[in-house]
Amino acid sequence: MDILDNIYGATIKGNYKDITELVREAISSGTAPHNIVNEALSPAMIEVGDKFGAGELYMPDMLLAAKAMQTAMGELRPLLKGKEAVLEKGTVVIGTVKGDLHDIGKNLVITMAEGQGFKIVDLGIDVDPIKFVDAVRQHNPQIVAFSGLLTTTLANIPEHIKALKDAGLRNKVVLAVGGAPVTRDFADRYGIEIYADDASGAAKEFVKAVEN
Amino acid sequence: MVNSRTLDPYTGEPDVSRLLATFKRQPVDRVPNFEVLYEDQHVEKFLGKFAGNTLAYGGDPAKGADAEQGRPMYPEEYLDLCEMIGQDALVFDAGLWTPYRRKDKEGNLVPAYKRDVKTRADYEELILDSDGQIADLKKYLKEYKDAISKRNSKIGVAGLYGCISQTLYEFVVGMNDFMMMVYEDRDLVEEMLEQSTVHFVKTTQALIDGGADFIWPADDIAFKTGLFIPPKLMKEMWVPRMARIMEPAVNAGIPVMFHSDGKVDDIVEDLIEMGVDCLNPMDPYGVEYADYKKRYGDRLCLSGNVDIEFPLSKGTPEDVDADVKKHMEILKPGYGYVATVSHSVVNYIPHENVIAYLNAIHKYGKY
Repeated sequence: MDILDNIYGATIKGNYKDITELVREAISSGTAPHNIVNEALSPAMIEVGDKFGAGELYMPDMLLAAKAMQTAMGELRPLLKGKEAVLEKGTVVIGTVKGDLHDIGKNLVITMAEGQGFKIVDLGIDVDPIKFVDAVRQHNPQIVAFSGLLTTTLANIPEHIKALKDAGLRNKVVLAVGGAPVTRDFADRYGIEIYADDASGAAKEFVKAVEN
Repeated sequence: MVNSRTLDPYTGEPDVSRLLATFKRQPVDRVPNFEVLYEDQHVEKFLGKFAGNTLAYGGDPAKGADAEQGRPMYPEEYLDLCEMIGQDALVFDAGLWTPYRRKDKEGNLVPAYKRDVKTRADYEELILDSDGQIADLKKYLKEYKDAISKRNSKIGVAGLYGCISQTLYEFVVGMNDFMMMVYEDRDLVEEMLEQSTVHFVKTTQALIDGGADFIWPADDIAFKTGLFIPPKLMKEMWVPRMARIMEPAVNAGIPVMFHSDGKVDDIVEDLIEMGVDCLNPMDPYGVEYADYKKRYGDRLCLSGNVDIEFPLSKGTPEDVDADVKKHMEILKPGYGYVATVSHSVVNYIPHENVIAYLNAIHKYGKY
């Protein structure tokens, strides 16, 4: 089993305690840092996400896998300086919309999206439209993601979109929406480009969005 | 044309024996309608005056209401509401969240719900105000029982309580850290769950001693794809504890309703085994209710599933009527069905739809 397989396996198992040593071993054996990301860490997180979505892995598994990846990335980041494009597919600004305090779904999406190499700007819960606008101005994300669990707060989405339009920012970002009561129809109704059924699907849609 | 302006008359006065018989899948005159919560705007529209929320006067702490604000709805208004809508029981917050506290700078006990308990040392600083919470529940239960007795009503009363894991992930530790802690510091998680369990066993006993007609333990342990933690661990860590919480009621012959959101398939047999009579709310984002009726309908009363997204908040009164009718066709036969929404009757559901919903239950729910 080669070192990349070992790193892949450690990520799947959430073995953040041993992954630093494995990454160092890979580097010292001549494996390029970006190969560690692209051939071990990211594919491992895709597998974790798929298995989580299929009900084969559970929240602790996914979160520990993400922690393993983040630990590995901590080791790799200095080595990839100047090659941040490898690390970061893009930036996602994400928050639970105004009036909503739920964040389980949002946090799952963050975990999966980070696993795919996105930089995440987490605005938290009960986020005013203006905070999304400010975050877009500050961080130049490719994607803005709205999360919500309550129908009434999802009904605030048009207000969030209008704030981006009024600020001249709507066309600069791709919008995403998710939450238990959200449907494809809901997303289409408001011109939101990305909708996914679960966190793993959301992360994949984010990847598609930045690659297109 | 569906009547969504006024409540139609319903069969048979509100009577907790209807609900209790339904829990045991015995014959009744009509499918009972029973909700954990009517939010304040609906209550006001029904009663013609402000009277707060039914479950907890000030609202749900999980939605941002002050956790310390909650006294239950005042009993006279709640009884008036139940008589108006045909609901057979009052339900109050008897301790949804384990009463963890810490001392502030002035030495006052304040809720420890800031998701900042990350280590054993953090946990050991917490104080459990078990006696305080139980004293409150006894007070409110007596208040409700006295009001029911004074009115000579047959309406019953239940307590909703017992979120041994949700308190921890929602309020005390935080979701991500708690879930990782389940694997990484299982001993600590078990201690925290154990402390909650001991407290809620006392809660059950207090409810029984105070004359509650049934108990309603709750704990959100799943979302739409399944349990938060692996079934094997749930069966080791959570099932025996929730069974202990219910045990005094099961032994006393007091019916048990249990609530968890999400897809709970992996735990239903365990719930049946521990003595749950009625499963709620059959989350439409995780549970296929026809499948549950087929698999469990001869062993479990089923409650819930009418979706507050659609038809209740986004549909028309006709959509609501049709959806209730559809649920009745599957769930009503053989008894053992309590008509309940998938979550609670929240303010953002148009009131006309709530009226259509209740009228449909009473129209299609007669045996």
